[in-house]
Amino acid sequence: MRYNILLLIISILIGAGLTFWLDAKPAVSSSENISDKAETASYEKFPHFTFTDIKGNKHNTKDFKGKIIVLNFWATWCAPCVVEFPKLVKLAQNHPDVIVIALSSDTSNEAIQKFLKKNPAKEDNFIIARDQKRKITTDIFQTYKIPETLIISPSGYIVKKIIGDTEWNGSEIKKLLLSLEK
Amino acid sequence: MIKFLVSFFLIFLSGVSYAESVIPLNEFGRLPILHEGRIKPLDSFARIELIKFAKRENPNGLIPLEWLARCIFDPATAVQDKIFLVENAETRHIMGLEERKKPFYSYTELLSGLEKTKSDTAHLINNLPDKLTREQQDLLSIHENALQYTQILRSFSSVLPLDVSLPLDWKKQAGLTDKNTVNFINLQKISPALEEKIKNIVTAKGEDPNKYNPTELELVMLGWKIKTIAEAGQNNNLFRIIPISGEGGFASPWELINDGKGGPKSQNILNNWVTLSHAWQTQDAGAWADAIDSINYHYLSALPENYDSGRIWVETIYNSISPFQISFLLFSLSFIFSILFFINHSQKIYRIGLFLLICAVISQSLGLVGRIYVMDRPPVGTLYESILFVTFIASLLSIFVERRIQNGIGLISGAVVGVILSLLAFSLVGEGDNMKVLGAVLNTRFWLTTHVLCITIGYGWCLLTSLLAHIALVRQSISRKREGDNDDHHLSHMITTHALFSLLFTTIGTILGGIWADQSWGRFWGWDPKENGALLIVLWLIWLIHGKIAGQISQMVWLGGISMLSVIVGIAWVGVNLLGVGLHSYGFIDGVFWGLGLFSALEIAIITTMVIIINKKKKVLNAV
Repeated sequence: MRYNILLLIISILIGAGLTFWLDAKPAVSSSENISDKAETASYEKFPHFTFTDIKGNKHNTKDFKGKIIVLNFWATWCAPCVVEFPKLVKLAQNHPDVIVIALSSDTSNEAIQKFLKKNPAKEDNFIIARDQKRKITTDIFQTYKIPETLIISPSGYIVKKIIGDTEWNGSEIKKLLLSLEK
Repeated sequence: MIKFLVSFFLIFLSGVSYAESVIPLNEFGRLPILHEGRIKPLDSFARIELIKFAKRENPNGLIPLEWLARCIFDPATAVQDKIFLVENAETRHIMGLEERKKPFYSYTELLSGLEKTKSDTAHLINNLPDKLTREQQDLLSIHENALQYTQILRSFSSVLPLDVSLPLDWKKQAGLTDKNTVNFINLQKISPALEEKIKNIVTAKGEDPNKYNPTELELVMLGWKIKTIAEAGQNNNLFRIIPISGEGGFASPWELINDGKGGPKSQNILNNWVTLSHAWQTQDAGAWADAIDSINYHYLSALPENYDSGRIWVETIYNSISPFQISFLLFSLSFIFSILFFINHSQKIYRIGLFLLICAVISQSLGLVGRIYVMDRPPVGTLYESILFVTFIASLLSIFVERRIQNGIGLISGAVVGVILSLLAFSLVGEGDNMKVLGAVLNTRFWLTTHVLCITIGYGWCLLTSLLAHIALVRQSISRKREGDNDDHHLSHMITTHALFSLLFTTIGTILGGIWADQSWGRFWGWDPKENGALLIVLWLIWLIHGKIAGQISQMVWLGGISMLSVIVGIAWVGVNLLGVGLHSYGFIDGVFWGLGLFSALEIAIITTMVIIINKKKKVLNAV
């Protein structure tokens, strides 16, 4: 009998130990949490690339090292992109240190030129380019639906991915840019 | 609809048909997937999905991983696999399926039946499950399974080679050479230009295809195919195998496209999966192994921080060993040896039987430890899991009983409880053996370990005590003596001791449950059916133990009452879930009503018969 009681006490102690051991670990995260985080944030290293803007100037994103880059995938035939475009221009005006690259999936430069006549973007830190054969858009960044925008930190990490149009001059973006500038 | 589905699968190259795959699948089975809220190996995913469709892991001898690889890499062939089990004859008739010895059907065989019953299902879907007949439930379930199956089939439709001929200039525009196969993702590069071109054709010549020249017709057809594939890929989020970003997520290949979840890293990983699919289609074992190595290499930097490869490894071992099937086999053998021991009293047979029982308990405990490690929580979150745990507790205790009385009673008790509970667990395998993530209310390790573990230990102890009481009744009913022998006294003492331990654990478990309920639901006691069930066990034991101590009940009533504990536990453990009401909604089940009813009726009949026989025999012996 004593032996059985001893066994029982040992079992209870093991159970209690197991309880505290398991309880000390962080809780299991649910799929929803995982998915939500994955949808909004990305801290991947930014893969640098070269491109030619519509004025014919060649660029390498490495040249903008130390600056915040806003890389926007767009096209003139994409309605939400057209709505978003002036907001990005305004962003470039308000933040001269931020480099905005608007990479278009249009099939010709003419379509972009025509669009720019109605929606001028003359800021030096606003670079417009056409992604020929969508090589950068799909092959490097796996972007298939536009508009989509990446915010790259001065240290070269993709800190935010925005799918669709957003309020580029709102407080949230301002706060983020401010935190990245520091 | 049928035309759409058939054309959808015909778009993909059928590749070759294989008598048997030569591709080694072990490493493939260890690749991680985020499924039902948990990162698990592909091996588990394949088994779980196959059980959903076929109610078994190997329908018609199919190997789960081979089936999965065929589904994702060669869907045109996979639709011929006979994996859908349609058990109900009425449902088979409604769907126009031919009768066959084993009622397994392929997706292509189901298609016309699915189309025929589509409108009926649309009505049924709005009804509550308890308002549906068995046939209607079956029909709904077949439609749901078919839908899920198409998700698996279309998982890689964005990167699989398409049976389309792309004009050379367009191929060039897409950056493809003659050797490259065309897939949906390649076509995305030219899709804006293609759309523009098609728009121009339609504007110039209208919508009548007869007015188009061959090149124009080819382009319009290409546009239609791209649209068809894109539509089929909407909401395809089941096959989440691509790790994305640095914060612990996975995405399906279609989510990369549709939801913008892709990125530079996922591009490399997806490319490796494309290589893997080519290797499968060409049955190139070397290229397959290289692609798996490359995927694993890229996963190193892409997988979430909380990813534990050890868990994946343990889970695949667990899947391949099936420890609970081994323990069932050992319990069965132990039962046979214990019967043989009671027939010829051979010590050799006794030792073999006890050894087998110990091995069964070890196998059961290893299975449970494996589940604890994989799920990172106590293994008592579902009814299926609690049965496995109760089996372990009851059979482990029976070894201690046997160690104490050494007359085979503990041995046969452990074997019987092991066999019966294992069979019960296997009957629930479709519902339970998927190591799923628990609902929020259950997902607390502290309370799962204390309350649920405590109450299930109580269930196990109760069942063993009840079995011992059954054995005591059997012994008395077949004994020719007026007074019991030494073994009977030992057994009687043992039953009292175990009844007290049963009371201890069920009472502590019930009180802890109240405290948990107070924390989660804001009240200690709410007369919830599950709470009442737990209280019923406690009250039953208190009544019997007090009656026995106070001398108010006879030995016969005591043994009969303790034997009936199995029915009380059955009602508290499984029965109250049938009501489908109360806050313990995570435990609701259906389909066991008749099983539980039959078990209860049988138990009442057996116990009453034995009590009558013993009383009659006592009267005869007293009269002599």
